[in-house]
Amino acid sequence: MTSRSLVILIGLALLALVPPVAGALGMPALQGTATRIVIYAIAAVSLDLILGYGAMVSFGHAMFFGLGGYAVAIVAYHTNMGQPLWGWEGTNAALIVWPLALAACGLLAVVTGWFALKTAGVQFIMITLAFAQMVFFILVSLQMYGGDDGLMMDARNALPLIDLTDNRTFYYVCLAVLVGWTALCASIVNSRFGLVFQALRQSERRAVNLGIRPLHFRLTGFVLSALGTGMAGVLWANYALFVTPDMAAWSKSGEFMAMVVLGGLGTLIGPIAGAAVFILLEQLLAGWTEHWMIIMGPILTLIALFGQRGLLGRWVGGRRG
Amino acid sequence: MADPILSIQGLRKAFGALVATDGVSLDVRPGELHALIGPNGAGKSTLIAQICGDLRPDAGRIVFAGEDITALPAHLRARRGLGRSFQITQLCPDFTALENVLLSLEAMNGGSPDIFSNPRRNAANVAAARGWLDRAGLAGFEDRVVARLAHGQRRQLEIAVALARAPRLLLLDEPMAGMGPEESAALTALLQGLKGDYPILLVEHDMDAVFALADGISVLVYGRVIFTGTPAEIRAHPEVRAAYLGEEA
Repeated sequence: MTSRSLVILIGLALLALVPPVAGALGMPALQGTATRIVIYAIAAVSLDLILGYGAMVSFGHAMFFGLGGYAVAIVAYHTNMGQPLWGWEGTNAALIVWPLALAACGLLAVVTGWFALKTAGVQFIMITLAFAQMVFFILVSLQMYGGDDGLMMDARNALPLIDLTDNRTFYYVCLAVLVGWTALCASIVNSRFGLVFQALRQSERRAVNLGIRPLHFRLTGFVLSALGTGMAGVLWANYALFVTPDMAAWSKSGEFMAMVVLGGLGTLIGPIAGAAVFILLEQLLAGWTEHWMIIMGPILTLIALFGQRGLLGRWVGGRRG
Repeated sequence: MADPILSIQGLRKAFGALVATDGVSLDVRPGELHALIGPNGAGKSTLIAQICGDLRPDAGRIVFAGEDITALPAHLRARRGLGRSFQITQLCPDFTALENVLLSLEAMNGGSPDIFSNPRRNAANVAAARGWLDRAGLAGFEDRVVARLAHGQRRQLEIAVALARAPRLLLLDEPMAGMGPEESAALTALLQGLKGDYPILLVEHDMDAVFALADGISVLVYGRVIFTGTPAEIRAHPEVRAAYLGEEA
């Protein structure tokens, strides 16, 4: 057994055991923390797909997290208020609302990605950041949907046969999404598409002179990554039953990036550990002092400086999954 | 004589006051290995960049397989069958040698949006890629990551990457650069074996290799082709000896 599959097996067992352990210890809060970790991990894995494998430094991924969440909350708002949305009554069915939210994220990704990919390097970072800030301020200005204060939801979306109102069931649904999405991402990076996508990271000149048009591949990667991040936003809205513009804030994009780098760039598995460590540290330090970033900052810096491949990079092997 | 596969007509490219390509005309015919020689700064790299589409010429035409490709972007020229190796190695350092050749095969039609099938499990492509690695002298190194290959091996891999897609024309930009005498000799033998299968435009400083391989030679000095002829004519030409061979000897 490779060390990578060992890490996956242990990690999966740990995550699967959280609800029974939390129940046995009488600490239901633990399950909530684990749910947050799993949802953030979905976003971190998505970002790693383009950051680690495509060297596309998107500093705006929170816009997809925010849009995914708001799409769910806005549909719920109209459905419950009996106010049709462009003549549509609305619905609470996850199988309709979630794909709709993802479609919105995909559309946003096509438009922003197409513009951002006209550039590269620092300009790419700045343009993705600029688009995310636009989304943030649009959300703030939506008075109908709570503006600054955000928007509450009455209940989670409903799936057939699966009762999402049960917190434990909801956790396992989130975990299943994480596992399925990470497996799909692993397939993507090893696929025919992934071969070209990764080649563009390593030598764009070589790829172009072999017949590749970079924009098509980078944009596809960007959209796939946005869909995963949007899915995390969808699940977040259902978990918290509350969305705020902060979901799309630049600091949220930074957190996603920190999780990826913390866990191991270009490993897909590493960012899951990164999300876990980040959220646990945040919770621990925040309980101790409100200036927790003073301690978190140096920890992140040290790991970035000395653990060059992140927490798990050594064991799960970078980019060669 | 057969129509040329590559025909360059009156090509001109200037960077400010510096005229790097000054009215160059040059033909490569099917089956021919045509060498382009000239001292450093003669404009060889600039000419190659224009043929491949990395640079746009200010004037003149490039006709490839009967089609005017002067305005075609680089990736479409590659898909038309223009294969190249780079003067400074351009490979994917994190990929294995085999993956680099597989990439060449995948990219031939512009790449695939397929996100499910693994190109490393495409038996036909893998067999073809292994065959080319073998021919380029890299048998046994298929699964080694490029970053861990020796310099000479990377040069050999450049050739395998260019060859794997059965190009209609091969542009080799100083393939022997930085190679030891033994590696050079091996590559010369490889190119000797390829001659006739593919038309080749070879830019090279290694005069032994050029005279051993070339059917025709063009001498580029200060952006102009001062002479085109057979190796024997080149050796005998006084102006060429003064401009280039004299410096080498």
